[in-house]
Amino acid sequence: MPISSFLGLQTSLRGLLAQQRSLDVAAHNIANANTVGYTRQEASLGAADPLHTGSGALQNGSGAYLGQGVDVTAYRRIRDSFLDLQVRAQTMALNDATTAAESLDRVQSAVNEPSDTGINSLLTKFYDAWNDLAAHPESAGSREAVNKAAATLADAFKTLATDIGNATTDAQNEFTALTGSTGPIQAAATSIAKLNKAIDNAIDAGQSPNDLLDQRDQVLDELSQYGNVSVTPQANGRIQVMLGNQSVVDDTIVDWPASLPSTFAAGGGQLGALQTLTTTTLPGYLAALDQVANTLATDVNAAYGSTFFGGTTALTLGTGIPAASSIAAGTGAAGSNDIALAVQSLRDSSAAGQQYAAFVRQVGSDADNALNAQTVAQAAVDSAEDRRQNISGVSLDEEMANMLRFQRGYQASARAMSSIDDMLDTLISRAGRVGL
Amino acid sequence: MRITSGMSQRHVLSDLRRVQERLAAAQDQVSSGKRVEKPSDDPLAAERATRLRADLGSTAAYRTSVDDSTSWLDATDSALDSLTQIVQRVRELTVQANNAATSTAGRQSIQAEIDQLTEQAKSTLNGAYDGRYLFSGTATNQPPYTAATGDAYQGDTSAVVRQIGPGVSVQVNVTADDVLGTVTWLQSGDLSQIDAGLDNIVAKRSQIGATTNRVTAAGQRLDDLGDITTKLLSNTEDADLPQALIDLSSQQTALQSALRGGATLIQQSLMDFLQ
Repeated sequence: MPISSFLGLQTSLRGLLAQQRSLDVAAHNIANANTVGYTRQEASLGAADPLHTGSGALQNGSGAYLGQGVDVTAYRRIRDSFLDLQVRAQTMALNDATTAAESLDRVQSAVNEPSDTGINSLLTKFYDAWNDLAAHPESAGSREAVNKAAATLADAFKTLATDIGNATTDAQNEFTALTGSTGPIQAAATSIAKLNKAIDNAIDAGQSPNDLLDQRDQVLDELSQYGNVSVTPQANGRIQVMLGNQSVVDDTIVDWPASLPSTFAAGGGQLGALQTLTTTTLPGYLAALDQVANTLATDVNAAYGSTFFGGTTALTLGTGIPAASSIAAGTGAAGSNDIALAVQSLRDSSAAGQQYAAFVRQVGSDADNALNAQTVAQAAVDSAEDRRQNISGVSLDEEMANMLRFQRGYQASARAMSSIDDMLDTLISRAGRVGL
Repeated sequence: MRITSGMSQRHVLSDLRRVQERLAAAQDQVSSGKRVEKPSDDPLAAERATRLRADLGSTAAYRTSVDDSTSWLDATDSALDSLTQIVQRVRELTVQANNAATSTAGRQSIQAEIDQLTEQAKSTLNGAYDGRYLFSGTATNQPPYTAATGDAYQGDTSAVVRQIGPGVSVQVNVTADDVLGTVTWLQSGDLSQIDAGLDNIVAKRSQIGATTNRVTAAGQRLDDLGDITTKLLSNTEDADLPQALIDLSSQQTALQSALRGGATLIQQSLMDFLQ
């Protein structure tokens, strides 16, 4: 079988086109150098299908395969899905720790210890007032001071309990806002379902939807800050996505419900942290504070001999006496101070102070743990993100070098084409003009 | 490793953030002078500081009690001092009256003076400190003797108690009843009764003196305890200033080098060298 004279032109054209496509991809990479979630792409070049010449092409009479240049075999997306899993796991841990740290930092600011204005020093001032009353059992002013110190102390308990209650409510509201029908998870679910469909269509049409895959991975990255994201591949590039134990998207159907079942567990992330805060940590603080208030009220009332503090929780603690003047300093005459002495010596004997100090330590160590976890998770996210960028990130220097390479390749293909053109020119214009 | 442009920028940013966090922490320590500002800075130290502050408050309160007790005891002692002088004068007059050489007129004037001195003794014990009657037991709003009730003691026999330490109580008062009793012995002319009464007053005075010593010693102990607790509290929550200042300046240097390094790193690219 004869070989066409124009074969070389076609081969050069393929070279031109392939270099041009590669240059296009480099331009696409450069354009997206700062796009979040973008994966660098590459035009994979492969030798074009060779031309099989029938027998007789070679001297020994056998046939041969003649190279026909280059083709773009695929537009590759350079990504390691294992690194995606790492980034998502660390993002989840980071958001878990950050959410806990923010809420606990708020609680410990409300606790305001060690200081001269926290409950600890108000407790000291309360006992000081009783001590003053013990020294001046006849004094109306000292009674007034005891009453005021008791009210201030009770208010401080109430304020702190309210602050912790507000932190709980805020965490609950945040959880509802995130998981609700107008929240980011619902939006992510909708866009994953849409992307599943678009990717399905593209793959059906034999295309590689690189940028759609990037978008979907980006949505999954964002989703992983809320909880434990698990992805199950389905047919034709579609995926099923779970957040904790709740399905988010299955195929092209949004599974995320308008109201979550009570069994929902996010398994970490911002939602997991909010769940832990609202169900365990913050109620635990409130219970610890209630215990301090209860111990204080019980001990003071026992020493006082009747009701001095009404209420047995931090929120309900208040003086149970009608007026400052009715505070009893002693059981005997005007100068007797046995009651005042008994109450003031609670500063050494009551467990309330110790319980409060332990409560402060608990809040502090929880906040400290969350802050440390945040630092560790931040470093882990950075390093996982580094490894992913190491594979998938756009390096401008590399793209510049590639551009040079493809430009030179294009020039060389063009030169090959013009040299074939010259050759054909010789054949077409000059053949048959021997001797002219 | 492939270093992409996004990576180096992120590295520079996260390094800067870390250095700035440490710098802010060092600045906080230097400006507040506190190592533990929030419980999370050091949870154990925060707990200890909370307890130490309560201890410090307790020490200060007992110290106030000590001062108050001391004033009460001093006032009592000075009243008893006056009383001793009065009774001694009564004794001298009684001796004089018992002398056979003393005339009837002389005895009458002595009797008048002793009556005066008896009233003076009662009014000495009616003395008040800080608006309170010192010798009425816990009936501190009630003078021990009134004109209307004559020699009858009007107070009660209860002890006035001050707490000068955890579980340490002292009685700071003596009652007029303990000191003067029925009062009539002053006018009895019976030297042995007067001597017995004088001995009793001196005994009560030395009892007050012993209590004063005990209270003063307790005060000194409380001062020492306060000093130690303050030092402990300072060790627990105060910043080590030289250390904090060195930290601060080394973090400042670190920030400057991070900024300078970042600036050079971000500028460079192959584009600067390709034509």
